[in-house]
Amino acid sequence: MITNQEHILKTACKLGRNILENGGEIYRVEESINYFLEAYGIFDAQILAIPSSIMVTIIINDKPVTMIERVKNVTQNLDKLSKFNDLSRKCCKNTPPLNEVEKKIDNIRKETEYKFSTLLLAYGFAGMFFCLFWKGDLRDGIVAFICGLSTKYCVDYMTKRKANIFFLNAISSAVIGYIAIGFVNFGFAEHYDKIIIGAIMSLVPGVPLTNVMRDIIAGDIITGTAKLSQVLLIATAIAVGIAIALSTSMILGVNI
Amino acid sequence: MLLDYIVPCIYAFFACFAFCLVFIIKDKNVILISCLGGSLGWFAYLLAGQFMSVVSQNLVAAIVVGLFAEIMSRVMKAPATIFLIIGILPMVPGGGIYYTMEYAVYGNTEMFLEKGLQTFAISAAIAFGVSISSSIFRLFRYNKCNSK
Repeated sequence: MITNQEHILKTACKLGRNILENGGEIYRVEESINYFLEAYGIFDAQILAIPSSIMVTIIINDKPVTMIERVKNVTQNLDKLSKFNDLSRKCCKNTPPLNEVEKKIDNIRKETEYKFSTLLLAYGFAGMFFCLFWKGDLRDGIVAFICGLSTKYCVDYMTKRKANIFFLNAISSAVIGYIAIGFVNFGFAEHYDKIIIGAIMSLVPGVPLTNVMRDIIAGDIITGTAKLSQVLLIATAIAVGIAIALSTSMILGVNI
Repeated sequence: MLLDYIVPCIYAFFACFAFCLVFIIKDKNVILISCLGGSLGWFAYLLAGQFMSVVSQNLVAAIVVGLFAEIMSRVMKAPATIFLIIGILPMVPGGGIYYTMEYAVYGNTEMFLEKGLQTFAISAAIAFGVSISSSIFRLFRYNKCNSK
């Protein structure tokens, strides 16, 4: 039988897990769990969150109880993040019954994302506008649009097959490189560098980069260093991917 | 002259809009505000370019975006991360990574090192600028549970 306090612990961990999985910062996860537990009358909880897991220990009647959540897939879903954040706030203020909270969490989890076609267009336009932004002309923009579409396909294909993060970024950016060089060689566009820069923007780790220093300043050194190595890894992967595309084209004698 | 300032900001706006969809933001007002944040950040970047070097230019722009994000998170009741992630995008040194790699492929070690260090400095400046503004706001942070 689950006691009431254990149920509180379970719900708090579930909430924290969902915030972490949808791209929340570490301090947000830890604080949300802490406030949740305090709102439901559990004080002095020991909470540790790192990018891959959450550990919470509370004392129930002099007996320690621990729960560990292992988090494997972190995605950026800012809509869900915002909703879980709201939910955590509401729980602190009104302390609704736990079953209700759990049901709300499940409902938010079930919410649909954008359709594949919308996302595909979003990747395309992201590439296109960043290409224009970096002073490419309209033709470059169109090629960057195509590169963006290919990026979405590559990322989806490899995520489904559980490719590791280095391989995923290297292959995606190599495909971008080949498409850009191909079109330039074909005579359709002029600046392959502008096209590539625009198109790799959807791979470049801008998000972890923004969060790294926030985490370090907030005192989460472990998280900060872990994310920093992630940033460096992805950046290297992108560079390697494009280097492969450039150097193989050079060997094949393509004029670039 | 004025167009040199406005056209990039418009491109930044639409690029940020595309990324709002990539990162699955659904609230229309939040999308609008975060795209505006992106343009604002780039405008600050261009203005700062009149007076200072590339790295400090990025630092200033990142501070502006950070402050904007923290203020808007209070106004819109949404996590500051959303506005930050989108607002910082135009500054992310994608070009830097690319040119660094290109110099490496062509065997131009001197330029490779120069460009690589510059890219690293820009990333550090962005991260630092963002953290400055969020640290300022954390000083005055209200308790999450007692707030409305």
